[in-house]
Formats: sequence, C-alpha cells, structure tokens
Amino acid sequence: MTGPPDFPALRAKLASGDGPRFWRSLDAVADSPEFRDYLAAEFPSASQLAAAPERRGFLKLMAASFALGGLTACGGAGGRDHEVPYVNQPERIVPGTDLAYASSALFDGFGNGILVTTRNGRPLKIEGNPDHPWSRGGTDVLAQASVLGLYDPFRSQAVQHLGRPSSWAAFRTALQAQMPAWRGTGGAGLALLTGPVTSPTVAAQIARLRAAYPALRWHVGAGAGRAGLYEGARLAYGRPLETIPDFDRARTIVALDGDFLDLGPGQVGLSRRWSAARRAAYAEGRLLTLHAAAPTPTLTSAKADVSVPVQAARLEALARALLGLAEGGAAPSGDDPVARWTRGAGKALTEARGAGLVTAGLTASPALHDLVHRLNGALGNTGTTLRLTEPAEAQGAGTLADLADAMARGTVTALIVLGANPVYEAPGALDLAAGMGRVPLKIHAGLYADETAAHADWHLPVAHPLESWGDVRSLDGTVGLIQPTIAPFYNGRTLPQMLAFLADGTGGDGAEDALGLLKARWREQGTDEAAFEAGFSEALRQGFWADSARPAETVALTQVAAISPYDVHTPPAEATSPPEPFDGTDTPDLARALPPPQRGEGDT
Amino acid sequence: MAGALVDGSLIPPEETLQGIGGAVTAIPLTHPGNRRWWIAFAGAGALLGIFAVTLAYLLYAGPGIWGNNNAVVWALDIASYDWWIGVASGSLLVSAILLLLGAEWRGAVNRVAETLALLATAAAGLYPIIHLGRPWFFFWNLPYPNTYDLWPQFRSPLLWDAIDIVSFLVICVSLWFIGLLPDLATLRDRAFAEAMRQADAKAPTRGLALLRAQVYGIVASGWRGSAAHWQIWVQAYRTVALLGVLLVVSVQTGASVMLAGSLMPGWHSTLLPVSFLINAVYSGVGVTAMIVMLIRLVYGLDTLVTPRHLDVLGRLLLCLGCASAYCYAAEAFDTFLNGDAQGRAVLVRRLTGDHALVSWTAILSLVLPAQVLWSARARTAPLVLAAVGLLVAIGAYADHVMVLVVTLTQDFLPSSRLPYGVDPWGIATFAGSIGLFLTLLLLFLRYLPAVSIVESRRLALAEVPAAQEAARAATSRTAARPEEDPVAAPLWGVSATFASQGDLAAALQAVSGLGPDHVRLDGHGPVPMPRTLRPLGLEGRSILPYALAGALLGGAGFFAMCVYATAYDYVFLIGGRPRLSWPSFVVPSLSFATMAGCVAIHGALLVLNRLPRLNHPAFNIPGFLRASDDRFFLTAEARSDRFDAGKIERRLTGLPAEAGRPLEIRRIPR
Amino acid sequence: MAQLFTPGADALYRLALMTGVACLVGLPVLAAGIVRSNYVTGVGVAPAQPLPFSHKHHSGELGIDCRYCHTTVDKEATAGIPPTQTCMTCHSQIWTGSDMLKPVRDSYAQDIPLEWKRLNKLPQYVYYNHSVHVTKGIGCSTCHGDVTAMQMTYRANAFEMRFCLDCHRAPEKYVRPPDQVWNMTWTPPADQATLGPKLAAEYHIRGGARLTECGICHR
Repeated sequence: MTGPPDFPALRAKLASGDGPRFWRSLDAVADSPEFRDYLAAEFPSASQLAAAPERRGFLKLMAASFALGGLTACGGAGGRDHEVPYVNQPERIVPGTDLAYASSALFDGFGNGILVTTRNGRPLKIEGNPDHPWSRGGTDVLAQASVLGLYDPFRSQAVQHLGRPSSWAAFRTALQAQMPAWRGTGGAGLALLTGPVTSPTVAAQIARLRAAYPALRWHVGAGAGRAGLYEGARLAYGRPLETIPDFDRARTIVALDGDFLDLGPGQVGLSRRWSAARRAAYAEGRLLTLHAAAPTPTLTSAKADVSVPVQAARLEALARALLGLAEGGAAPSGDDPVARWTRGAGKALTEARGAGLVTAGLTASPALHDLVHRLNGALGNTGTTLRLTEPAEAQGAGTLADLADAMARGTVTALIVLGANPVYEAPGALDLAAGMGRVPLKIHAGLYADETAAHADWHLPVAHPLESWGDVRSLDGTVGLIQPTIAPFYNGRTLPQMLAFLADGTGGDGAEDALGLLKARWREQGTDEAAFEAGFSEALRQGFWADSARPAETVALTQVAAISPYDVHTPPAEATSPPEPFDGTDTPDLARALPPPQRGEGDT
Repeated sequence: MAGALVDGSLIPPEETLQGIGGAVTAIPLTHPGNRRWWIAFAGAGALLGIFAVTLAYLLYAGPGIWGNNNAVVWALDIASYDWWIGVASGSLLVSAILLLLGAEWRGAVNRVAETLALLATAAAGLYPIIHLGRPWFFFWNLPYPNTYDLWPQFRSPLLWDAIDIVSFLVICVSLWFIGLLPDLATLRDRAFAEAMRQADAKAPTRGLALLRAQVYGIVASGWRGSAAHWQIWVQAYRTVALLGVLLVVSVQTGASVMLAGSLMPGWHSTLLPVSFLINAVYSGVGVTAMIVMLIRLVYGLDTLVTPRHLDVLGRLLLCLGCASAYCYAAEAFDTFLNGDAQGRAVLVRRLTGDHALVSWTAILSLVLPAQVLWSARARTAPLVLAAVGLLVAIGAYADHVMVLVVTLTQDFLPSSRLPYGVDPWGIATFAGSIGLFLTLLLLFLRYLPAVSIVESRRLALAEVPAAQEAARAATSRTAARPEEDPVAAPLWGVSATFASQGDLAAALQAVSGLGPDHVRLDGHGPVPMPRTLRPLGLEGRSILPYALAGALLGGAGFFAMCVYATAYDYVFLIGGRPRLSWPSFVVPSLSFATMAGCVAIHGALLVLNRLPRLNHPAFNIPGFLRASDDRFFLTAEARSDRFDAGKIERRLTGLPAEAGRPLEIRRIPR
Repeated sequence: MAQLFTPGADALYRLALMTGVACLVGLPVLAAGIVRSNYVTGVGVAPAQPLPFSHKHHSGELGIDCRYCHTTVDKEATAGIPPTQTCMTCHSQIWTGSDMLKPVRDSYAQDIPLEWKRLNKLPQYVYYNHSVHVTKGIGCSTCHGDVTAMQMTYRANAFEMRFCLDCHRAPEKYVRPPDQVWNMTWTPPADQATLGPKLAAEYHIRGGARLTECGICHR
C-alpha cells in the first residue's frame, strides 16, 4: 500500500514489547499514519479497534456480542406474537389470501403473458396468463423460475463506480458533465449495447436517444439472436420478416432443424398451438405428422413421428432436394435413412400442397431459411399455414461484431451496456473484455454485477421485471404489459428510465417515472385522457394490449438467389473486410458475410 | 443332567462355606489384581469417552452421520441394537433355564450371565432412542396421556419393541438383583467385620470402611437370611426366571417381526424369527462363555469355574452352532426351492454382492468355529472356548448387518436403491456402546460378587464332604450352655447358634411347641433352609399367587388399553387392518404382563419378608455376622409377657449333641 | 453386637423408597399438569393491548356484528384483523376526544399500524381455514368462547390438538344451524343428538374417518 515495508523497523517493532503480537498485515504492524488514514477511510468502525487493540476491549465486545446474541432466543415463535393490521386496508388486498396480477415474462427480450400470484404483497408463484393471445396460458421454466431471481440476494443492489458503492446522484452528476460534449459532437463515439429490444417503450426511448445523438451507434447482442432468421427472410422476400406457423391449418409439418418446441422465445406459444392442432387432428381421426431432420436431438425431433439425424452442412442440400420434389422433380434415390426420410417428407408435403408446413430454427443459416421460405412458397403454404409478419424485434441495430470492431479501432469513446452481459456471452474471438479496455467511459446496467460490470466504470442496478413497469412484444407482436408486483427491493431502475435520462440528461428521481414513461409511449396513440386511462387500466388488468399482434404481410418471393450452400463461405468481391471465421453458431457474422440481397417487388 | 456328561467334580473337595464366601467376596472387598483392573478400566473408559463424543455429534448432526440414507434407514444402529438385545436374551435365557432346571453347578455361570443380560440390555436400550432423529421425543413411543389426543400404534412391532425393552430391563434388573441379594448381605457382613476391625485398630480408613459396609447394607435391604426370607427368595428367583424366559421369546418376536412382518425380500419369511432367536441365544452363550473365561483367568477362580463347567458351556455352544447351521441351510434350501425371484436375488446378493464379506463373516463365524467343540479337549480349554465365543459374537453381529443392509440397499423399487457403506461414526457408536458395557462390567466386577456365593454354597453343602465335616467338627467341639448376659435392657428373645441346617431344624422342631402365641420362632442361615420350614409352620407359603395376579392384571390391563385405543378411541385405518387386531396386541401385552408380574414379585418379596429392615434386633446376636457365612441361628422372639426364656434355653440345652444341641445360647436385648 | 444402622435408618430408608415410588408416579403427573395449566396455555389471560378494546362493549352491548370488523371470516382462511380505518368509521364521529382512543387516532394520523398482542396462535404446520368452519355451522364461540362477555379479550381455549380432534371426531356435537353461528351464547339444544347429524348431512360434513385424516390439517 505504501511501498515496500521497512523490514528492520518492523523487526524492531515486533521484538519490542512484551508477549506475542498479532497482526493481519505488515502495514498493521508498521502502524504508519498512512495506514491509519486508509483504515479510517475504509473501515471507519474498525479504526478505533485498531487504534487500541487491547485485550480487555476485545473481550468486552465479544462478551457483549454473545450476550446480545442470546437475546435472539427471547423473541416469540418467528415473530408471530403480534397482529399488525393495516391502517388503511387497500382494496382487494386481504392478508393471507392470494391476489394475482397479469404481467409479462421476458425471454431474450420477447414476452409471454404470465399471472403473478402474490400473497401478503409478495410475489410467490408464476403461471401462464390464459387470456394472453400468444402464450395462451403457458409458461416456460425461466418464467416460472424468475420469481426466484426477484429474491436472489446476489442481485445487484447499488450503483457502483469503479467497483466501489456509489449513488444515482453521483452517476447523474458525472454523466451530466459529459453530456454537453456528446451533444456537441452529435454523440460521435457513443455506443449503446442492448439485448434484443421488442419493447415499444424502449424502442421509442432508443429512437429519442438516437435523435438526440445522431452519431450514436446502437448494437444488439444476444446469445442466439434472430438475425439469421431475419436475414433469411431478407434473402427470400427482400426484407426481414417473422414467420408465424398456423399449425391448425396444416396437415403435415416438416422441420429442418426446426426448434419450435424447444426453449426459445417462441416455445410457449408454438408448443401450445402445435399440441392443440395435433389434438384437433386426432379428434378428426387423422395424424398431424411431424417430420424432423436435425443435427442434434431436440425436443422437436424427439416429438416427431419420423425423425432423422442430419449433419448441419447437409440440411441445405436436403432443403434443395425437397424443393426439387415440390417443383415436380424426382425423389432422391439411395437407401440411407436421410434419403428415406426425404422421400417420406417430400411425399407428405406434395400430397398436402397448401396445407403443409416447413420450418427452420433459430440456429439455421440464412440460406436455409431462404430455401425454406422458397419451399413453402412453391408448395403454396405461405399465407395459408404460415403468416409472415413484421418482426416484433426493433430493427436497425448493429451487431456485436461491429461493436468489437469499433472498440478495437478505438473509435468508441463511451460504451453504454443496458441489460446485457457481453463480456460473458459474446463469442470469445471478439474479446470484448480487451475491447472495453480501450473505451474511456464504460457504463453497465444489469440485474447482477456480472463480468461486464467488472470491466465497466459505472455499474447501475436494473429493476427486476417483477418490480418494474414496462412493456414487451411477443413473437407475434402482441404487446404485453409488465407491472410491478412489489415495491422495488433495491435501488434499481428500469431501462426506459435510464434511456430517458441519457437522452435529455435531466430529471431527478421523481421525473424518471417508469409508469409515466410507459403511459407516455402509449398515449401517443391519440385518444382523450379518460379514454386512455380506461383503456390502459383494462390492458393492465388483462396483461396486454388487445389486438396488438402484427398483421400478416403480403409478400412475394425475390428471384431465386443462386447460392450454393457451399458458397456461403466464399467472401464476396465487394466485401471490404475479411469475414469473421464462421463457427456455425454466430449467425449475425454469417449474415455479414453474405452478398447483399437482391431487391424484389415485395421490398418497398 | 450335567453329571452324566463329565468326569471331574464341579467343586473341589476341600471347599468350605467360609472358603467360598472368602474367595468370592475377596474380589470386591480387597480386590486382587487392582493394576490389571485399572488398565482395563482405562481402556473401557476411553471407549466410553468415544461414545460420549459420538452421541454429542449425533445429537448435533443427526443419524445421517452413520451413513444411513433414504433406502438404508437401518444399518449399524439397528444391527447393534439387535445384537445387544440378542446377547442379552441369550445370557438371560442361559441363566434362567439353568435356574429352572435346577442345575446345581450353575453358580459359577449364572451371575455373569445375569450381569451380561442386564448390561447388554442397557447398551441395547440406548440404540432405539439415539437412532431417532429427535431422541428427546423418545417418549412419544409410549402410551402416555398427551394433549394431542393420540395413541401410539399398538399394531406396530416398533411399539412392541419399546414395551419389550422396558420390560426386559425391569426383568433383567430384577433377576440380577434378587440373585444378588443374599450375596450382598454376605458382602455387608464381611465389610462390617472389617469396619469393626479397623475401628478397633483405629485405622485411618475406618470411616470409609464403615461407609462401604453401610452402602452394601442399604442395597442388601436388611437381608438376614431368615428361613422365611429364603423361602420367598427361592420362589421369587425361579418365578422371575420363568417370566424372563417368556419375555425372551416376546422380545425376539418384536425384534424379528419388525423385519419378518414387512414385505421386504429376504425378511418376509416365517423362518426369520426362529433363526433370530437361535442366533440371539447363540451369541448370548458365546459372549457369556467369553466373559466367564476372562473372569476365571483374571481372578483365578479355577476352583469355582471347573473344567466341568467349561465342558457344559462347550456342549451348549456346539449344540446352538449346529442349530444355527441348520437355520442357514434351511433358509437357503427354502428360498431356492420355493422362494420368489426377489428372495432368491437377495440370497445371491448376500453371498456375492457388495456386502459379501459381511455375509461370509456371519456364516463362517457362526457355523464353523463351534464345530471345533466336538473335541473334548477343545471343550475344556478356556482359551478355545473364549475364542469360539468371540467368533460367535462377531458372526452374530455380521449376521444382523447382512440381514438389514443387503435387503435395504435394493428392494423391489429400483427408485429406492441406494448403496450403503459403513461409516466410521457408525463403528465409533458401536465401539462406544461396548465401552459402556465394559465400563459397567468392570465396575460390577470391582464392587459386586462375580460368582454366586449362595449357589456355590448350596453346591458345596450338597456335594463336598469338607463342608459337612466342618459343620460336624464345630458341633462336637462345643458344649452348649446358656451364657449369662448381664443385660438390663428389655429382652427381645433368645438365640441359639448351630453349625448345620440339620441341627437347626431339629432344634426348631424341639422348641416349636412351646407357646406358639407368645413365641415367634425363626431360623437364619447362609443358604436356603427347606428343612426348617415344617417346624416353623411356613410350609405351603407361596409367592406364586402374587406373581400370577400381577402378571394377569398387568397383561389384561395392557391388552384392554390396546383394544380401547385402537378399536374405539383412536380409530385409524392402516392398510385395511381390522380395528380389533388382537394378535398384534398379544406381544406387547405379554411383555407388559411379565413386567407387572415381576414388579408384583418384588413387592411380595419385600412385604412378605417385612423388608427392608436395616436395623433389626437379630443383628444384636453376638456373631450374627456368621449367619451369612457358615453358622445357622435359631431365634425365639418374645411376643408377650408370658415369654419364658429359661424354658426355651432348657429345652435347647437338653437336646442331644448330634440332634440339635446349639453351639451357643444367648439372651438378646431389644 | 453392634448394629450397622441405627433404628432411625429404617424409617429413613422406607421414606426414601416411598418417595422414589411417589416421584416415579408424581413427577409425570406434575409435568402433565403443568403442560395443561393456564400458565403454559395462556387460557384466560388477557394481555395488555395498545388500547383496552372491549369486545363486551362493542359486540355485546352495542351489537356490532363480528363481520363488521373481521370481514373475511366467512370468505377466507383468515378472519381478518380490522385496519385502523375501520375503528375510525365510528370514532371519527363519536368519542373523538377520548384519551383512551388516542392510539387509534395517532395510528390513523401518522399511518403507523396498531400492534395487537396475538391471542390465538396455531403452529405453522397446521392449516386452518375460518371460512369453511363458519360456513359449515361451527360458531365463533365454539373456539373463541363468549367474546361478547369479555371486557378484555383473552384466549378461551388452548388450541391443542385434542381440542381440534374433539370436534373433528364428532362434528355433529357442535354444528349449529346457519343462523346460530354468530350467537355467542349458543349452547347445544336438547335435541342436538338428532339435529346434529341432520345438520352435518346438510352441510355435507364428512365426519370421523375423513376429518381425522392427518392431511386435513397437516398439509
């Protein structure tokens, strides 16, 4: 702490005096004024003890601790000796009874409708909201377990600056000092990193932020993002689109590494729809067959009537074979399981033209998505058994790789990470931790003081969804509302609150009103105040804005892109930078390596 | 029975009553081999310390420290319990059966067997309590008036066991104490003689010597060796032994039906209770043989524990060893012939599975070592007997572990299969309970007579010429003459001293007609005196009605409680069993009946004999201390003013020397 | 010859023996008595409360219905302790200056709840539901005693398991017609022996075997 210790002096000190001496560091032995100051600053309560480490004082304190510790036995049975009623009993709150609130659970930024059961003001159990048009009463394990996260004592509890406890006021002051400079440059060098954003309020706040700082770059990082999926749609239709299957109109389903039953943003809604459709088909006396080909066993392939393991690299060839079949070509010959499977799936699809359904999953390559779109188009399924809608996720953000690039080049002067942990989640090749080292100002907001927080200057605690206001879209675009079921435990804020502050740099504690921000977003819809309040209350009661799902888009396929599955890796001539090595999981990188999509009529 | 089997005598020909008393009481009073005792005691104390540490950790952490798990809920704890209660049962059975059969040579064995039974029960009784998760609620097992309005479940062998152990402890203490009572009086008198000697010599330890005599005196409850005492004592001893035999069957039923009554493969068998009982008796005899050999060796009691005793013990072990072998063979035969697949699998797992070592230890130690005893030389070799006893004890323990663990690690449900490994804490607990046992045993050896003095004396009187010679010589030496005591105090009565029971009986006969209203006659001696009962008019007095009434009342009361609780007050449907499940009430009722009978016998023993009397005028008789040694006394107590001491004295002095003339006549003050 | 013991030793010894036997019998009886005593169970003991609220006055003399304050007694598991606001419905109008009611006014003004000493406490491993008892003809006074006669409220019954079982084994001894549930002075009518089973059947109370299952209360 104060340079190398003066060993002879230390030895002399230890040798003098009577009896053995005890110490916890060499600094303590030296007992220098610097050490005293340090101790007084760091452990104010201990400095007195350190100043007079006498045996009697120590024994006195220990004796008192023991004696007072014994007092804990004097209490009643678990604090049940008193009845403490309300002063003013809130309506509907009856001590000891259940009260459920409709809210939304988040999965990779997408929402599912949930009902949070509270008792005595504490959320205890999460179940699906049966009225929610997307999730239809289902939940996944993460939603069920999120109530545990609320009570997790390891949640981030306070603002930290350079790893030391700080305050929101200090953060605000520090940022307000920076903001004039940002405004002057239009936010050049500012980078915002978020998870996938579906929340209309957050999207609006980001839009405001980008309006305030036009040069700000926004990046989205997600473990298994939907960028590849959107890129596939762009290849097929010229713009990013979400594919929503309608299983109840289908007579057969072919999943090419489709993972609609597996954990993901779509799982809850899609598995409900699939099982309902399957049951309905059974009631009609037929089987809604599911053919699955996947490189690894998944829930979907396990549930399939006919499933086959296929290497990921062969999936596109398989799709081409099916496409050939659909267009009247010959069935593939051969007696291997894949060929047999392909013949069976192709036969089922061609027999159910307009009532078949081909799906591909989150980890599939854009080319495969493209081929699947074309296959569905060729079979006449598009528009009948599947709907194409505008993506629920806000578009227009850069990728993590872009960010890593920019950080490596040193063009990022301030990095704001909201609700993401890229240091932990991003591919190791991007080396975000090293990149962050080159950024002068790093701000991280998250539920936990995680790896990214460790590399950041400021860490801000985010409020848990069960204690915050907000909104979120489901996969089909339905807007679910998030309402608090308990007063915030710690000093956390919601993302819209933080974004609002970052956009204008004003606002005290009261002005960053999360509910106000939420209402402001929806009041833009333009009705009078009373009608809005009534509508908003009804939406809160239900847990979602009724009929807010995205409508089906009218689309047309582009010209068939002549991409062989094996051409994916060849860099296009106009690419300026060498492509990132493609490891098969990082679809955004793959998207970057693809040639620019050809424009079609559907793209306006 | 034993006489036909062996050559050599049960007791050396030169043994006298005084000699027997001296040899046995010397151990607690002067304690030879003090150094060896202290070494052994230190070892036992260390084990007891381990027990204390283990129990403290157990209370803190719970039974999981033994390695027991959700499937193997019973392992070393219940194996130890079964083993201890088996040793106790076997020892008790040995002692009780020898007593009931009237084997006159049993004096050398029965005290050790009774003590083993008592101490093993104490060790066993701890296990069911400490293996509970919350041992401080052990009394929830017993039917006590509670605010829950609940009864324990009388249909469960677990409850039978609770009642059994309590009864067993009472019977063991009782049998042990009744047997010990006259010997305690002998000890008291010898300690008192020593205390008086020290008082005369103004020895510095005289206070301690007197205290020791008083402690023995309090425990002896004023036993005077009166003919009436002896009569009731003999009956009480035999009746408690009979109850003990009944209880052994009942206890082993409780312990074995707990297993056999379940549906578990390898347990659910009608043969299991039989092999349980046989192995229990076997291990009890084995441990008894081992300890008897040890005491014989350490204290040099070769004269009292003779080769003939060893031979009998050896034959008993051999016989039980063959029975045990038969049980194993029958179990294997029965299982393979008509057992189900699960039962066969258990048998195979026992012999080849994870715990095969334990199983083979059990089978080999129980079956093979006893076969050595076909040789007569091996039977009379103390070390061989002790070794066989030790191996049998080990085998019996391994047998319990095998039966419990192999079945529990893998029953019908694949989901409830968990492996089990012996945990050091389980072994430490068992070692600790051995420490408890040994500590108590060493204390017993240190302070109480290890061999029954009374039984050895009876044997000596019956068989040994020296004892009879001594009596005859004493008679011929002396001329009876009333000694004039210048006593001013009021007269209590007249006493006369004799050298043999025969003389006493003759004298009693002679004076019995003298004013029965104002004279109360009694005889006192170191052994039971059946020949004096007729002259005393005590013939036909029996303790049996009391025992019977106590047992019947207790048993019927307990049975009625079971019926009331289970069929009327606490109706609880368990697996469709009938409300009135009377067969399951029989076992605890029987146990309780034996305990109630035993308590009644104790009451009768005290009340009929008007005991305890610590201070009694009879103790004023000069030389009365020898009433617990080698002298017989006649007392004629004055009941009214018309008592004529002179008349009695004249009548006594007038008797012929061979037919009842006393050695000494005294007038005794009140 | 000397005696080892003095004549008095006999009396002492017998006294000690009898004391031992008496203790063997007496100590468990004493312990059982202590466990059941009001000292341990707290029956009949009215603790000091934040203010001397009288059930006798409000419920007995003024005739305020139980459900005016204990609003959820017939709807929920808990009967409900009234919020301060309930007190103030009347006491904002009457006795507004009373010293006795100062804690109520303070609580209301400062928004600090009143802390009442808890009287009736079940162990946490016991499930109890007020509404099912009240709606199936078990009156308040069966468990809580005649509250309308209590100047200061006290525990009327020790809620030991046998207290619950007494009724659960034979509910027909205690069921009342629906209109008698709130009657604090109800005693079983002469024809309870015939009325009880009839009412139990009407309430669909399955007695005895069902109501004494462990899982009914220990869920």
